[in-house]
Amino acid sequence: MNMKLTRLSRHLLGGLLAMVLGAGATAALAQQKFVRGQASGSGKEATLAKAKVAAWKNYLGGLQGAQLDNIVANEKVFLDGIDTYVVDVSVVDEKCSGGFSSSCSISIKAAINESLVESRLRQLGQGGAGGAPKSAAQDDIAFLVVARMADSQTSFDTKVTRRAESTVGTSGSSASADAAANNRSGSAESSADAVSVTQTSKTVTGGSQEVKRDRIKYVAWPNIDDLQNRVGETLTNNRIATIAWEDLVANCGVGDNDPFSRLYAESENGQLPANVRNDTFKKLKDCQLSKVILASLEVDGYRQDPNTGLWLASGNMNLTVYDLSGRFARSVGSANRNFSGRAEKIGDASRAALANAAKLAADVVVNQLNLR
Amino acid sequence: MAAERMGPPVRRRRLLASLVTWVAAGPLQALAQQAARLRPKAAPVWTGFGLNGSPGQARYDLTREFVRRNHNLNLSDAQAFAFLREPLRRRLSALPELVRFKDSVEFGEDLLLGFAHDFEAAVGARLERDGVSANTLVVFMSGVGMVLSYSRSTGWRVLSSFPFMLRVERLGGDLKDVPGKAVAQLGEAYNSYGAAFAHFLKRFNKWEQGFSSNYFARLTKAAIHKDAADKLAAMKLQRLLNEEMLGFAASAALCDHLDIPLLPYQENDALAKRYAVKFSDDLAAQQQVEIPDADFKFELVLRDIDKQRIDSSQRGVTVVRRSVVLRLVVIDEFGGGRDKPLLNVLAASTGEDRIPLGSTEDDTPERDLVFLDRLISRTLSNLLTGLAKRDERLLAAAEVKLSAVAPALPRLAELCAKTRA
Repeated sequence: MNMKLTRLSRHLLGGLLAMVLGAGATAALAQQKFVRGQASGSGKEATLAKAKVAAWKNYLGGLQGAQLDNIVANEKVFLDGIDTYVVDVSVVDEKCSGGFSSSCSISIKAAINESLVESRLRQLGQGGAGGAPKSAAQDDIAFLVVARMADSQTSFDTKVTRRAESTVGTSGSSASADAAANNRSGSAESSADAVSVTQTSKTVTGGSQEVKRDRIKYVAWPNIDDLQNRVGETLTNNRIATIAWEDLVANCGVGDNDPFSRLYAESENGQLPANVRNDTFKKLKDCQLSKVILASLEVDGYRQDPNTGLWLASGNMNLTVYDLSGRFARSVGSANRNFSGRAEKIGDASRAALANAAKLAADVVVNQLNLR
Repeated sequence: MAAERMGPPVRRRRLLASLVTWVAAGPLQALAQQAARLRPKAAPVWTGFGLNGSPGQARYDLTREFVRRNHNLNLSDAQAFAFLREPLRRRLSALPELVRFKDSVEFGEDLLLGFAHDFEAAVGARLERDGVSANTLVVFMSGVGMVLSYSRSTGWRVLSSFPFMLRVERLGGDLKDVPGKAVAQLGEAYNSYGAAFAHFLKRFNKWEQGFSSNYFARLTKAAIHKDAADKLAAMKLQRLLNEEMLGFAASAALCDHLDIPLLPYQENDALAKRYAVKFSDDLAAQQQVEIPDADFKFELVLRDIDKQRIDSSQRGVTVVRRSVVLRLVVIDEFGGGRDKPLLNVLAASTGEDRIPLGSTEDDTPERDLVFLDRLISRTLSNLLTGLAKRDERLLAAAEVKLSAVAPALPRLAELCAKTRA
């Protein structure tokens, strides 16, 4: 494809290679994956087709989770259009015996066009092009994104406690001394009720050290609507109907989305308080919504990539899909992903990271819902 | 001849069958291979020079000090390699048929050419130069040139890469403060490094012929056997002649002598990891650049080394005889993979070195390193060139019998051709 996608600015040219070589942690977007396939059979074209199927199966072997389940559930669709998904086919080996009904053995190397695979999965999720309609995808879904970012970090020195105990045994008296906390303070007990004749002496030293986990103070991500919109956009692109949160605020009596992020930022355990969550779910259920998706995103690490000078912000995302149709809200799917973002400014890196997370969250949701 | 003995009916049937096979197979294979062949419209665009790893790593100590001392910069500074920019540009500008310079890149259309620095080391040793022993500084530098493509639908792709190793020898003075002296020579070494890059660029950037976009070769393992490791430790060489240096040297030798592009040997912070680049329509797009799984793999083991001192009072010299034994394993992923390697061969060489009778001054670990490195290079050169050219004499020089490797050679040649595309 020769479409011009972007222009790389002059100042990036020098740094491009370094960026190519840069390290970090982020989600891989769709690319072409290389696969091998081998098959034997009669007739070249039939054997080549079998080799492509073998390559496709090898690709599936590297997948997992909801995406794999979705593909397997619709495998015939993919096999019927295998030339669309197994591309750049290169025949590495070909051995055919002569004759019209030749017996062949063919090995190929090919690439899987994952963008098209994902596109097809989305279509199938929407019930188009031969796939069965996914009723779950047609339901109205509430989607709440909460996000927080590390604001400051309190690091604790290792707490060291030394303990020294000395015991002097006599025929009728004993003394012991404890010294703790760097030997600066301690207590001593002694008693003397007999003739003191020292027989033995023993000194025991020991202690412990305790490393207290760094405490990260979070602040709520101020532009939560951006994220909500990003996720909503991807879901809409996949024809998954979500209800705008402000509509839910207006019609269902749930709270505005900003305070949720503040509560999340203040949370010690990285979760919305149970009473807040339950109350919100109840209001959504009363409003006849059967599903709600809760995505909590946190950016908790920043570092500068020495190769590029760019800031790298990283974090993780927890996503849970709740079914509200029963007596109690029931988790019907969850996912955890790491993500990261890079930019020249630290704030932009956070924004990039969260944007990536929003894309990830939406992809997970699409697969989770399409599976139902 | 055989056909003549068969008689006309059989011969006709065979001919017909062959014709059918050719007619049927030709277009099929041609079509399939054409699809996997990337034919760019123009030469790749030069992107720059960079480190193939974090600048904090110890393997860049010399360059770090060079940049600090000469340019008052940290290695992590964006301008750290500004000193190389203009000399490389001048050198590459002389090759307009191989590389272009542009202010902007059209992703999806332009191929990108880069040069990554992998490894460096320096030792000082008394070596024979022009028949006279002289203190010599030896600087090793290893890098890789890469041609990449990018499009949003395919992501990043490594189309060609060519690792190479440079050994620069200079008179070293008193051999005190070898790192300091190496840093002083590094500007000149980088100049030679650029020349070496340009040389290999001419060999491996044949963009007008297209690139095989999905068949790859790579050195996947470089190891030192315990027998050799113990002896290296006894020679105080274990930190210098380690698996990293062996791997970079072997990767360069494979590329050079088999004349094939080779994926980068080491998967450190490099291509296997992540990539970030600004897009005009978004704040940042991030995609993973993966070193693809190779189809044609090589493993090298330094199986053993040996060193003997033989005093010859009659000639007034001590002969130092060193030997290396290497095991090369070649794996064809389409032909049995690791369980059934295409080739598993031991190769060996012995070299002699003369020092003044009983001299301990000349017999140093650094001198051992230089000679062992030369022996490893020579063994690999003889073995690989012998395999590529089916040359009995060269193979014999690596103590390999042609008859022992002959069955694997047609397939080896076929796989090399596939890698070259």
